[in-house]
Amino acid sequence: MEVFGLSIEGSLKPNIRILAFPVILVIIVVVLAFIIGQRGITQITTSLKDLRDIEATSNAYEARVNSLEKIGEVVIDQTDTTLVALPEKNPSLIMIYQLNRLADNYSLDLSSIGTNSGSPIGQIQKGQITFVVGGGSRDVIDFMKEIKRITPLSTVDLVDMKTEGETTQASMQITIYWSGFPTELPPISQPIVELSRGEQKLVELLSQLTKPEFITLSPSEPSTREDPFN
Amino acid sequence: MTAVNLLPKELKPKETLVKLSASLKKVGIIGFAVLIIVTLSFLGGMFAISRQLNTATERQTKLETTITAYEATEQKHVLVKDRLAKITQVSSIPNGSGQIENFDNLISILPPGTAVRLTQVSPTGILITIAVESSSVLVELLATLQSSGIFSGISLATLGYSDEGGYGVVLALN
Repeated sequence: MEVFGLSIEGSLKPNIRILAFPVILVIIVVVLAFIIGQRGITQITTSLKDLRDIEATSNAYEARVNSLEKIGEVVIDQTDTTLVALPEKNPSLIMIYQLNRLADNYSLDLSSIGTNSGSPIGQIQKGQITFVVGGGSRDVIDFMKEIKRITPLSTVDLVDMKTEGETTQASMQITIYWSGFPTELPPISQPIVELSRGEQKLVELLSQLTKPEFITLSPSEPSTREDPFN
Repeated sequence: MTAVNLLPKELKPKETLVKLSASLKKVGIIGFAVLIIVTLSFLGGMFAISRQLNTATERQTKLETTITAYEATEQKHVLVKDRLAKITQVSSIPNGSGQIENFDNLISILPPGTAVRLTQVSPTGILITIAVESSSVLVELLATLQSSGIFSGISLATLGYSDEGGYGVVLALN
């Protein structure tokens, strides 16, 4: 058989035969090197990236755990203090109780107590309490000054005072506030932001306010009745 | 004895091709050996990384468990932050408490011959009705108020006079 004037049997066959194996060998080595190299590098790169990501996440978790350990017991007191200052639900009754207690402290008469609802500010709900307080002028003024030192927190909207001699009668309207709890925790990978100095100072100030006294009644133990019919 | 090559010349491969073939064989074998070494290195590296991954994953899982155990603490912390943010908001709402303090300071500096009758306190200021015995006391009252520095603005809203009550002034203070 002739190809391009050359006899295959004559001159090409031995040449092809001697080159075939080495060429095929080199081709195989190159192809394998390409495949193994590409897959190997891809696999290692991906694994290293995964390792870096996991380590970064773990470091964030560790920082979070350290913060939570530091916060620890302190947060319980802080929670009580801040919750009493700004409760979850409408604290009208609590505030009225506080006002009554305050009026008793100053020997004042507290009357005409009324409540109204207010329009919320964002997530903060509002309500108004109106009342009339009367007694010695000095005591009425001290009573009014003391309102900002009791919890739950309130703001004074309006005071109308009538003074005759040493006695004063004041009609007051104050606004009370409350807000529901947050419904979501931040993502676990987000670091815990501890209280700033300003926030810690605020907690200290709130802890100095006069809190309502909540009495917990404990159940009494059963006693034997000697006469069950009496 | 001399080697006799009985192969006809046309069946012998070319000399250059023979040399090329030998070189290619060497390259192929060396390349194959290098390939084996590289593959073993890759496998070794993958094994080492895999062990590190397992350790890191275990550490992460342990930390997640610890964080879950602290969930109650975290909830309280989030609640505290939330309350403080809202309390700060409430603190910025206009409040008449400051004016009540001003009112208290005011009545402590009132000169003799004056008596407070009506007072209205709001977050923006005080509207006060004061009975004043005489014009000189009125002058003294205004001078005292001005020099006290308690109020930045003092307005005489009304001034009345009666034979029985003397002067009655209504002052707007803020």
